[in-house]
Amino acid sequence: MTSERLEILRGTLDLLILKVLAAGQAHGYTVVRRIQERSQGALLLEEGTLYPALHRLERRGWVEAEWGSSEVNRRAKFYRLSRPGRRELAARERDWEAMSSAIARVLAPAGEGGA
Amino acid sequence: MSWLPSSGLFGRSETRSESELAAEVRAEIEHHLACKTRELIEQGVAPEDAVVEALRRFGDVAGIERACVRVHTRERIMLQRVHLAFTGILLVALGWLAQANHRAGIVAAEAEKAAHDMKVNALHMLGQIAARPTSKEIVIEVGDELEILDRYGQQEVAGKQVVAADGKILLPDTGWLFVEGMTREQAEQAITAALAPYFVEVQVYVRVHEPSLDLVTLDSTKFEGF
Repeated sequence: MTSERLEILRGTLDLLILKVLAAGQAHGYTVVRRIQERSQGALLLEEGTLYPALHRLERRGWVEAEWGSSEVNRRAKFYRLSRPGRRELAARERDWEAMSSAIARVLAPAGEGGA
Repeated sequence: MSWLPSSGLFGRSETRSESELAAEVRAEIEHHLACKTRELIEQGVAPEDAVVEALRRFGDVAGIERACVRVHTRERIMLQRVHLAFTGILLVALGWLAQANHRAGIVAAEAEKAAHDMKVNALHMLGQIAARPTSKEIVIEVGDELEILDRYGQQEVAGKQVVAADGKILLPDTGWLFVEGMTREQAEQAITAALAPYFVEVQVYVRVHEPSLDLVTLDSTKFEGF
């Protein structure tokens, strides 16, 4: 499998995490798995890098965390989206849609839909 | 998946000590590695190989642990500085108030001396605070990435350096330079001074980036025509 390491826009990882947690509480390992599954393997997250992002989101109050027991019978820290986190996710999704559609318009062949 | 009854973690992150935070992060990482190891074993990987592979895919365990702890402690340090500054200002105000009262004949001579002492102490404290970086200034820490630019555009000078665990960066020609705890401006001066003997003209600018560990690899095989 060939792969290229590309820079992604700052904040994209936060958006992905918030989106995954919108579906329900999860611990870090599950968040990684869901990002990879939903992108059908296209986004290969370096797994440890998720955790500073999760803690940053927790500090900002966008996610809440609580310790519980996981499926491997170990203590695990579960994260869930807070109310402010839901608002932040909605705002970031709007921003993402606006930006990606703007880029798509730029990339469209010249003459399409314009003078 | 069951939630522990009111473990109290919500909203108490500010009160955790650095060692408590580190222990929690370590437990979180250990859980991740256990899950990954189990997944790999289920895929047919030998147990000892699964452990190694889980660690490899996780990345820099120690660095990530430090980064997580710092997310919580960085804000606390800033708040401590603000609190110290506020206390100093309050002491100065009290000192001046006591002096004014004395001039009006309300307080005794002992009060003047006490007020004077308070004022001297407060001014001394404010002087110390002034010498510290304000909350708006960036203080360089281990793991920060310094983007170094030269006013004269010399490519040998320009580059990115991550502050190593010992607080130092590696500069061309000059070797290691300690920068941890410096403000951006102090680092600019220190780097310029260190490079000065090796260049006719050099004046560096520094941009400080917090550690960005958000590494995502895009698998090009998943995109047709990529």
